[in-house]
Amino acid sequence: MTTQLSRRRLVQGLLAASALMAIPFKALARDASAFQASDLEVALQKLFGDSAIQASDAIDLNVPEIAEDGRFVNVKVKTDLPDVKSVTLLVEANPNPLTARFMIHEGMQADITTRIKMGGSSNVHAVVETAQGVFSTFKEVKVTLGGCGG
Amino acid sequence: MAQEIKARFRRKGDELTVKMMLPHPMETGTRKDEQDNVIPAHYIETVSCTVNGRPVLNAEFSGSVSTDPILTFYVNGVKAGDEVTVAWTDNKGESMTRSDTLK
Repeated sequence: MTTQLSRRRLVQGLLAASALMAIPFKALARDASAFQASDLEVALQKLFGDSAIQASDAIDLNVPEIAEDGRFVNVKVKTDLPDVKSVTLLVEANPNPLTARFMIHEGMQADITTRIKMGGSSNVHAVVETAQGVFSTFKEVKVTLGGCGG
Repeated sequence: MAQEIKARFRRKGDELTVKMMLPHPMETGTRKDEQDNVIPAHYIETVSCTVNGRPVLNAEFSGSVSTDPILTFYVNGVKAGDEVTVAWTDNKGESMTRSDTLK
C-alpha cells in the first residue's frame, strides 16, 4: 500500500515537473509563421490568437517623427502596466511587419530600447501582453530614406 | 566569423542597466549586391539574458532589426557577484555568448 502510494506520488510529481518545464520551452519557441506574415493583422493573429487587443495610453512608445535614415530608427518602449509578459514591435508597412519580440521574465523592467529598419514611412506598433490582456499603441514615423532593399 | 558581443553593465544598488551591441550584418534576404544577386538572409533570431542562470529576457528578432543591433534594458534585484550572461543565435546556426560578473 505504501509503495503504491509513493509510486503514485512519484508519477504525479514527475508529471507536474514536466508540465512546469514545458512552459519555458513553449515560451522560447520562435513562431516563424508570425515572422513570415506579410500583413500586420495576420502577424497579430498568429501571436495573440483571438485575444482582443486594446488600445492603451499606458504604453510609452518613443520613436522619431521623422527618420532621416530608415536603416536605423531608434525605438524605446516603456510601460507601467503590471505583470508584463512580452513586448512586441511591428512596422506596419514593412514587407514582414513583425520586427522583434521581447519576453520579459521576473526582475526585468518593461523598458526596452533598440534600433529597427523601416522600408518607408509607416505606423510603428508596440504590443504589450500582460497577465490581464493584450494592449497596444502606435505612432507614425516618416522616413526620408528607406532601409529595406536599398 | 562572428564578433564578440559588446556590453556595458552598470549596477546601481539592486538595479542593473544593460547596454549591448551585437555586431552582426542582419541581412534581410531581400537586398541585392552590385551584380544584382540576392544577398542571402543572415540575421540574429534569438537573444537572451540570464542572471545566475535565471532567464530575465528572451528576445526574438527578424531581419528588420538594424545592422549591429543595440539593446538597452533594466533588471531589478541584482547584487555584486551576480553572473550576467548574454547570448545570441542566428538563422545560420552561429552563436555568441558572453558572461560578466557584476561589480
